[in-house]
Amino acid sequence: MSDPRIVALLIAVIAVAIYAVIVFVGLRALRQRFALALMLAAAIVVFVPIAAWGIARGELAIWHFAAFFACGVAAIVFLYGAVSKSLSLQMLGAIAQTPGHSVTTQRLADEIIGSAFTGRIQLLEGARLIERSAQGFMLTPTGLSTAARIRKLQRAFRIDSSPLYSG
Amino acid sequence: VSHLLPPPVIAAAIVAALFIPACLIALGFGPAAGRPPGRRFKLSVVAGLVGFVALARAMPGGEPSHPLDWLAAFCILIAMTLATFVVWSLIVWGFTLNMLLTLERSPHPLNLEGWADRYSGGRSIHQICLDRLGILIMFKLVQRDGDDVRLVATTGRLAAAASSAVRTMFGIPGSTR
Repeated sequence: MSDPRIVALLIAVIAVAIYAVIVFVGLRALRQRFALALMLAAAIVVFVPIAAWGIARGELAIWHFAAFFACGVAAIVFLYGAVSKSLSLQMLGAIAQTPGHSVTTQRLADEIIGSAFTGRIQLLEGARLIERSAQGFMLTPTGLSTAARIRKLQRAFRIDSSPLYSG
Repeated sequence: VSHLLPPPVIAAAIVAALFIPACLIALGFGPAAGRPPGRRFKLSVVAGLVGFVALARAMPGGEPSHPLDWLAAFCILIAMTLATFVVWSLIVWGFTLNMLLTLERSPHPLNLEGWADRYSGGRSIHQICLDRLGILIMFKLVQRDGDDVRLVATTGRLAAAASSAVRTMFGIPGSTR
């Protein structure tokens, strides 16, 4: 019989590959909506049957499998967050697509930051957290209570949120 | 039942991994409070690694750990570090979250320009751009020369190609959103 730890590594590699395919297909089918819920659900759907089979058969080192699989899932979630939300990576992509691979900072500010602001405003409006008036944007009652909850959480854990990395 | 118990090295990694978010919270209190969020995160990860080494050495002896035990242990630490970073970066530097909090702090409604100015602490949308660009410069992916930004031929192109490939795999439309 093979070493259960080696079996765990091999099955984890296959499980992460299956997980990745489910996530890639699912995100396309859902048009990038409910991404986090999809990723969590897919992890459970892939992990539970394999773990149950492994425990029943006793041929799989379950802790090793869980560790390898969790690392693969965390890496995929991290990568998705980075490429879908990171403004820095969006800037990198914009510079790479420009002839000569060179742009001005003003163009990056207008194209990336400006469009990010507009996109996130649509997101906040869609979630009914903000609304527009003749005077400008303001928080809705839902937005106010959401912001209050975030502040409470940040105060409880002494977190100083910062819009800028440089503070 | 014994085969369901984690090997000592993996048990040490699980405890040390839980120490990372615990330390991240604890560093907000007492004499260690007031550190910048990025430094707070790095210190927590280092504390987790040090804790893992100490726990692994303190574990009761028996047969020596298999290399795959160590690999699994490091996978646990990597998974917790990535998961903690995803949550931490969202709460601390999240663009949408900070836009919401900026608007909440304003005593009056804001137009787009006013919102961007307040978001950047009165330093304009251009300052937000330079701030985010700082990450690319730090990792030597781009070079800045005055108002111009140029891709670094090797690392920059490689990172841009990798990022583009990953975006395609996830089916993320367009290069900017």
